[in-house]
Amino acid sequence: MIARFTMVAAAALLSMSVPAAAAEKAPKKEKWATKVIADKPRPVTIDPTKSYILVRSPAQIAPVLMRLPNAEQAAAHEVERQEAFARVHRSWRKRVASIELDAKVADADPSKRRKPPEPVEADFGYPSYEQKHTVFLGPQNRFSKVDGSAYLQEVPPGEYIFYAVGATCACLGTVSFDAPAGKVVALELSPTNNPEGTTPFQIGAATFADVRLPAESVLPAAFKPAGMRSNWFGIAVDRVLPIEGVFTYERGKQVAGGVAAIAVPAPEASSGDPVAGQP
Amino acid sequence: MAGPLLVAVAILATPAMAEDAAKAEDVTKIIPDPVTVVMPKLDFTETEADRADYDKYFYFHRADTGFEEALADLRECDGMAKGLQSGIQYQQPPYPYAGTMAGAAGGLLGSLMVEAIAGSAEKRKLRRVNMRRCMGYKGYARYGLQKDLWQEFHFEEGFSGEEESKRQAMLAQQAKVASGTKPVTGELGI
Repeated sequence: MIARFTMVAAAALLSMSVPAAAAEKAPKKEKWATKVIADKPRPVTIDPTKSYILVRSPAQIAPVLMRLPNAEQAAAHEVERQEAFARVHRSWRKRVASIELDAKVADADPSKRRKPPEPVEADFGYPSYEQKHTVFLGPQNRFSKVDGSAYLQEVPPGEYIFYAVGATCACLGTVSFDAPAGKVVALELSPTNNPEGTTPFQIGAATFADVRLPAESVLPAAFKPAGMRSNWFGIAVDRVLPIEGVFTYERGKQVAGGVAAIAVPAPEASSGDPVAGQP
Repeated sequence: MAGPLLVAVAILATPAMAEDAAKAEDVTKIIPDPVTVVMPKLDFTETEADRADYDKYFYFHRADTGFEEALADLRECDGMAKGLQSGIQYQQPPYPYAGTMAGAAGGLLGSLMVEAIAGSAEKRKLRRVNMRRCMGYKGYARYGLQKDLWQEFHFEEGFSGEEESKRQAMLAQQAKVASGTKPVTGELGI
């Protein structure tokens, strides 16, 4: 009887605490799973409901990618965040009630007992959607070792950002790319070491041919500037180098369009060496 | 695995930290009147020993930059340097409640691993490197400073952090310098 009452009370408390948006419509929990495609002799079967990201690099590296949410996924994540906050707030209420009860039993002034501060939703540290949808590749389990390293990962379709390699993130400026269903999106990635101490990332679209992959399924990645990202892991920060025709930097901020697009007038660019005129 | 995580949550859940974090929320948003910010002393007679320490003791300056813009840039880079932007509350909760086990496991593990691998000195070094890259990419030049003068308006953070109000006061002084008169000493590069 007591157990049943407790359950009913808990259910009532829960219903009071869950935000209205969550109570009205609870979005379906998103399934999140990725799979390494390792170096095996047999052909890769492309699942038409999945995407594949292929990262090529001259050396063995450990790239980190993150999926960006679409509007529906962002809304679902926000509901999860609110629910998590409601749970935390409920715990706080219980803790305060317990402290007050203890004081009452001890015949002490409850206001003199030190109580934890009330959680504030604006400061609630809940992991971002990107943190919860992270893809770790390498440095082992390469798909190919020919001409460097190639890593292949099966992922849910969507838009992904390049976040880091090892313990250095591209937090000061990165790019995103689409990974459509049934396709292998190929990109080239290599960390650099500049004499002045910076370690920016060279990233670009890649071509990739391998008898184990259907040639028509492999696409070069098409990049979009994705701005700065939080240093979620407290690691070294750097950025992606400007990509011609995609973006450059002005005072640390990404500006759409590339170096050549700004520096080279259109008539000259179309008649001469496309590389000429770059700074 | 749950053991170390529980210990970590308990450590992070001290009331003192919670109070500090509550105070921090306000001071990080305040933009002080630059007139009220004390301009630190920057002139000194340079020695060989000073020059040898310029990788640690330096300040930033950028032409055509106002105080407010410089403060925003310094705060952004400070957050990047330390990993203090939105996700950090998950890694280092400002109060006990952010350390819910389900959500915090990954972030805590990440923090603990970084701290276990890198000592306090390495963390301080990482902060310096991150500040230099972030401010350098924003176009700020770097200038060397004598250690004693540097300590008057800068902080270093290893395992223990500086109180947020002190950090913000120092960042405001750094912003005053960054947006002030161009230094006559040589630029150091990123």
